[in-house]
Amino acid sequence: MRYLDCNTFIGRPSGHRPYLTRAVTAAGLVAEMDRVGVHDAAVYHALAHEYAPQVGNELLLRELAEAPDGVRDRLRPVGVVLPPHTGEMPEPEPLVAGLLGAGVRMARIFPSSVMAGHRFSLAPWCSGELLSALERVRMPLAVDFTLFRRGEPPWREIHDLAENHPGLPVILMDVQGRNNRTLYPLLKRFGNLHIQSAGFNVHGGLEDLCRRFGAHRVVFGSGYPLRSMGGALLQLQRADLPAADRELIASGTLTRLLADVGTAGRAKEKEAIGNAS
Amino acid sequence: MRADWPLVVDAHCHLGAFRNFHIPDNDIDGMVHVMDLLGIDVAVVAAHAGIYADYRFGNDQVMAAAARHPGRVLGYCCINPNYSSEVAGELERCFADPAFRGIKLHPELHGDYPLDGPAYRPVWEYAAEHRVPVLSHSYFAGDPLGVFAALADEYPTVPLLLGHAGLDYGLDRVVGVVAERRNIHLDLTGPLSWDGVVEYLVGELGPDRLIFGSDMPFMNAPLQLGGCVYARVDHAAKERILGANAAALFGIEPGDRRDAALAEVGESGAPA
Repeated sequence: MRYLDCNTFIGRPSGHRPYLTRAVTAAGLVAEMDRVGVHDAAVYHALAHEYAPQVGNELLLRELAEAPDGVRDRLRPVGVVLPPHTGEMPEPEPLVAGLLGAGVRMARIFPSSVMAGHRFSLAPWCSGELLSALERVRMPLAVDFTLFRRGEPPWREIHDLAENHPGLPVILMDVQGRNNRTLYPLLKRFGNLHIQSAGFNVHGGLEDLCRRFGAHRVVFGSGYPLRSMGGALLQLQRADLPAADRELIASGTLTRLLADVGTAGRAKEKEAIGNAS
Repeated sequence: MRADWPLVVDAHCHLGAFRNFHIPDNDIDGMVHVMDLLGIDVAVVAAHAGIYADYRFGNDQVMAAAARHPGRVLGYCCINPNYSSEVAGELERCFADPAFRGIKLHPELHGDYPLDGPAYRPVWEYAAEHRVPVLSHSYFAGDPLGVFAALADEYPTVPLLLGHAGLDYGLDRVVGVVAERRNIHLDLTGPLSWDGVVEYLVGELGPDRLIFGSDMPFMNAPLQLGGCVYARVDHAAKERILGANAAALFGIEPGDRRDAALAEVGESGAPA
């Protein structure tokens, strides 16, 4: 079984309870992956979350480029993005082109208005163009609401995001364990919604969710270095699921989504060229 | 290399439905199924009904669960301080059943009744007389850490389990308060999902007062268990945290393993 962790970061985060904060380098992340038994990871930079997305994204790419063989090739860079209206980030089309050109095939947003978030709306008039640009290349989008453990995601925004962008693969990070009564009808309605595994803190949760919606709706992720990577691994290893389902969660679905990035856009370009000629 | 966990005790479990959210397979059979998947030998259970409404209904559920799975399920007696005249009687009723090994207090779900309030006094007196472990919930808006310390000082014969290891107070403050109070034990339920918690607490306090718990079925047990199994501490420390410490507190004899699932996990935690 090959494990691809969709939820890791490197850098020196500000820290919060339980006050065990430490800086983690790319090599340190891979060392933990080796210790636990995780092969690959999608990684963003702490400064892209906690300082400025563009600065953090550039640091991430630089630190990965400088990492030794055996480290660099285990880590998939994740670009943290914002809507373009303030000039902090390029317009969506050049932004996505730049990400693809730098080898970035997964994006992440922190839209919450809490202090840990980037405080922007997912409504079409604010984020529509950004989300459409990501959708055109089918770039998986990790949506992190930076929820408190008792928190509840903004359901209306998730509903509109999924409805308006059916071709955008969305991974809800840390959806927590108390939200099935509203989460399940969204999963039923929108096939492009996925759940990060360790962020789904529900008793028998992986089994219940897979039974209802299929194992292809769950993507393995830990939250390391804040959260235990071993805990995430054990949750999946010991789940009462067929091996084929666990393989889909461990890496199968995300590997396919990452491989598909850009293909839809190219298909549309070919179609447009065909129609024009 | 095969690891050998002589005993795994989940010292912080619940049972049944919870009003605030959906929990799949929350009956005792669903819980024992997860215990089998994870290699957990014994669960010490406080019913959700017991920590909320109503305590008698919940304690009856625990009695039935323990009878259905003898040796696998032990109980916490839950009392509700808002029914103060019934507290002493419920303690007697529960502990007439040998499956009950501890007392669970949940001030938050009983109207944030203060842990040192008069209606809880019969609990502390009973626990002191019979040396029964008392596990109390802690959280950010509840009783301050100093209340736990004062109760531990007032009742030195009571093994007091600080729920969730007092995570919301900050673990560095918790360490400062419990270091010299040997009758306070840290329930690791919840903190185990944070990387580095076990390493920090073992380094500061040693492993002897750290107790594994998962909150099952309130939360997902393997996320908690993995936080301990994969911690960067030695095997002996993990044995104590996973089972030996709780066995001493709750009077559990190491028995045959019910499942070999965890035996496939190597000493470092990496899959063998």
